[in-house]
Amino acid sequence: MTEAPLVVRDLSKSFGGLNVTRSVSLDLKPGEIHALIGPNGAGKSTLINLIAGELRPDSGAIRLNGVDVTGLHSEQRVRSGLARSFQVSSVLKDFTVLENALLAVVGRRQPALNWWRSTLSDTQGVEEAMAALEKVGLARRANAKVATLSYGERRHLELAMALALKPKVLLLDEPMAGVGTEEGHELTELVSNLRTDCAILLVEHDMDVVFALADRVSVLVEGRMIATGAPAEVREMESVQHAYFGTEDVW
Amino acid sequence: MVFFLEQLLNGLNYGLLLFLIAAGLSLVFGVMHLINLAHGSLFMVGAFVTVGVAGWSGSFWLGALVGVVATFLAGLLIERLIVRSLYARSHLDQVLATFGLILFFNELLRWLSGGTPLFSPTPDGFGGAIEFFDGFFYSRYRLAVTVASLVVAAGLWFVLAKTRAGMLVRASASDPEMVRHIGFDVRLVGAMVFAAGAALAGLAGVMSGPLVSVEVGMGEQVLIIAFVIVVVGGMGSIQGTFWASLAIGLVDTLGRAYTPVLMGGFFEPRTVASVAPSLSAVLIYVLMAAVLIARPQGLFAR
Repeated sequence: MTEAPLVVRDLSKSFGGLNVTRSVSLDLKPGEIHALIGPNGAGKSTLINLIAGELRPDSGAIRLNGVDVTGLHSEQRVRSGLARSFQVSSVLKDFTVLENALLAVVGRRQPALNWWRSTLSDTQGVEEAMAALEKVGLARRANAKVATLSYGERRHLELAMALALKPKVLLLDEPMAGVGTEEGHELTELVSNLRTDCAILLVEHDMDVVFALADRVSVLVEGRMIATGAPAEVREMESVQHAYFGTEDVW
Repeated sequence: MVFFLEQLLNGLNYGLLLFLIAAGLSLVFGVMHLINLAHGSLFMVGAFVTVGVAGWSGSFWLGALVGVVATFLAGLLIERLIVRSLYARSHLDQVLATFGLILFFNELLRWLSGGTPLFSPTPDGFGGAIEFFDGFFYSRYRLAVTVASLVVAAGLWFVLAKTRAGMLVRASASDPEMVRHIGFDVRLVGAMVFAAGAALAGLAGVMSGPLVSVEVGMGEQVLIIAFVIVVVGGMGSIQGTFWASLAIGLVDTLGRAYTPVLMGGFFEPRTVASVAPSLSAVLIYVLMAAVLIARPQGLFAR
């Protein structure tokens, strides 16, 4: 049997005397959406940054499709099949939608490319970029400048760019943050359809979204992974209820 | 009329050479937010290497080639050894460190060249003048430099606007974080932009050699004007840099040519002779001040 797309083993990270990540292990199965939840300050962002390569762990290992990437820079991890989208909308406002997606396609294929080639004459690249835009329903806005897009559309574009990287593993850090209810539903459905393309690690505060999407849920509290399992199971665990929600039932 | 045409062509020639220098300064600022005072030194290095190699080998063209390659490599080396550790630092640190580089290059070349100004011969086949029409002659070499600079400027525009490399550079200038997250090595982009900017300044130095005297300190003169251009055009805007270069080149050249003529109508010749040169020398700064009052962010900045 081949190894899971993403394997995290005994990852630890401290800042000064503060242990933000304590011996965290995590497996992402092929085609699953795995939600990472936890109270504010539990270390979710740190863990995502460790996996993405923004931060170096003090100890532990991260393997992507069986390859140890612990020592790689974030851009090298992207090229090994790890994409992420962000909390803050980050797309290039002076570029068109298509150009943004195309840049991601180029980012994936870069070693094999002729850099002096005209961007839009690259029909294969344009096709791939359009396919990614199609998937998120942005194809009709392909030639619009990003500056004219709504906030929700920009979030769609970020997803399209992540897809254009053809990742094996996708890290989604609060993809619904800041969008309205209706667009939230749309994005939820969109993310749900992505699991056929890649395994997804999802950080999300909104429990409705977590329940709608997640195949499994992991709970991070004070830097420690206290539970992993199917959403319904995890919800019933006493330790989770206690550590995460106190006594109140917020589900 | 003939005088005006000649000055116009001179102004264009000067403006385009300035563009080659200012373009690198503007790109490096746009992508890495680095203020590089040593940029003028690369212009000087280009001119010196060309004169040196041309003198030793007898071929201007070999000198020109070596000059451009040497400044590109010098750019890579400076970026790697010194500039890379400055990106995260304050602009004051950057100014101090790159000012140190100016002193280094000036002393290095003073030592190597003996300190006397050098003269670069005009390359074979480009000497003398050509006659455009009856009675209007123009230096063949200046014309060639104008055309070559235009071609390079057009090439730079094409690369930046139309190619993958250009798209990546523009993207890195506007959001380096995001560019890193789609798998690009932004530091490599930075290094390449720095080296390309160095080579452009070097090329300007190569071509300027036969037009001016090649001497230590020639870099600082163009550096100040290049900064004026970048400010007038708008920091980081290559299009702004282009139009500002032409404007500065023309204002400076035509100003020097016509200030004495215009003043001659109102003042005594003695007054004109003493005031006109300094008055025309400040014209570009007056232009910069006017632009900064009307548009503090520069003409083309977003």
